[in-house]
Amino acid sequence: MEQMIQISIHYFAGLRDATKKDVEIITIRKGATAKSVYQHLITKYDLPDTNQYKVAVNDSFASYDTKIMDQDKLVFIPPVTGG
Amino acid sequence: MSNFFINQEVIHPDLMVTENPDHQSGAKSIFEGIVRENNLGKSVTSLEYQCYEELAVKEGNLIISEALSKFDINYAYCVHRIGLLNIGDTAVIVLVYAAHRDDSFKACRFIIDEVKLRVPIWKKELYVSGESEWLQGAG
Repeated sequence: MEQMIQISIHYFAGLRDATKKDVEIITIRKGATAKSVYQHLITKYDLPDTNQYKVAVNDSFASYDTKIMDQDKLVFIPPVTGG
Repeated sequence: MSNFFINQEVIHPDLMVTENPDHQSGAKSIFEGIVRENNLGKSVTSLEYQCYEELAVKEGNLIISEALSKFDINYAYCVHRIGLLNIGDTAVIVLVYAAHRDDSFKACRFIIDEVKLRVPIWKKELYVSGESEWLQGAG
C-alpha cells in the first residue's frame, strides 16, 4: 500500500484569499515534491499555474524539486511587495 | 543578535537606536518608507501588510549581514511594520551607522532594495472606491 505523509501548508497574500485559509494540513503520498504539492493545489483551488512563486520548506527557501517529508511545513511565496 | 524586526505597532526613527553605538561612526543614514495616497492613478486609503515572519526575519538578517560584509559600516538595522497602515504612516525604516557618508548611503540603499526584492512581505492597497488588491511584484 502507498505510504502517506501529513504536511502543513501556510498561505499568505493572494494565496490566502484564494484558498480562504491561513493554514491547512493535507495528506499526500510519500515522495511527493514541492512541485507536485503545488500542482495539487492548482487543481484544488484554481490557483495560478506560474513559475513566479518561490517555495519555502520548514522556513527556508527551497527548490521545487525538494522531496517533502512527513510533518514538513510548506509555504508558496508570491512575488514580494514589502517596503 | 537580530537586527531585522517585524512590528505590528507604530514605528518611527526616534524609536530605533539613535545613540551612536560606539562613537566610531561619523555618519548615520536613515531611509523611511511612508504610505502615500495614490498608486498607478488610484486613490489609496490605506495599506495592509502581511508577512511570513519566520522567513522574513531570517532573510532580513541575512541582508543586514551582507551589507555589513559588503560596505564599510559599523551597524545596520531595519524594521518593517505589518498590519493596517494609514496614509502617512511609516512602513519601513533602515538605519545605518558608518565612519563616512559614502558607505552609509550605499548600505542604506542596498538594504532597502534587497528587502523589497527578497523579504516575504506583501502589500494590499485599499482604494477610495472600496476595491482592494494585492500588489504584484516589487512595488
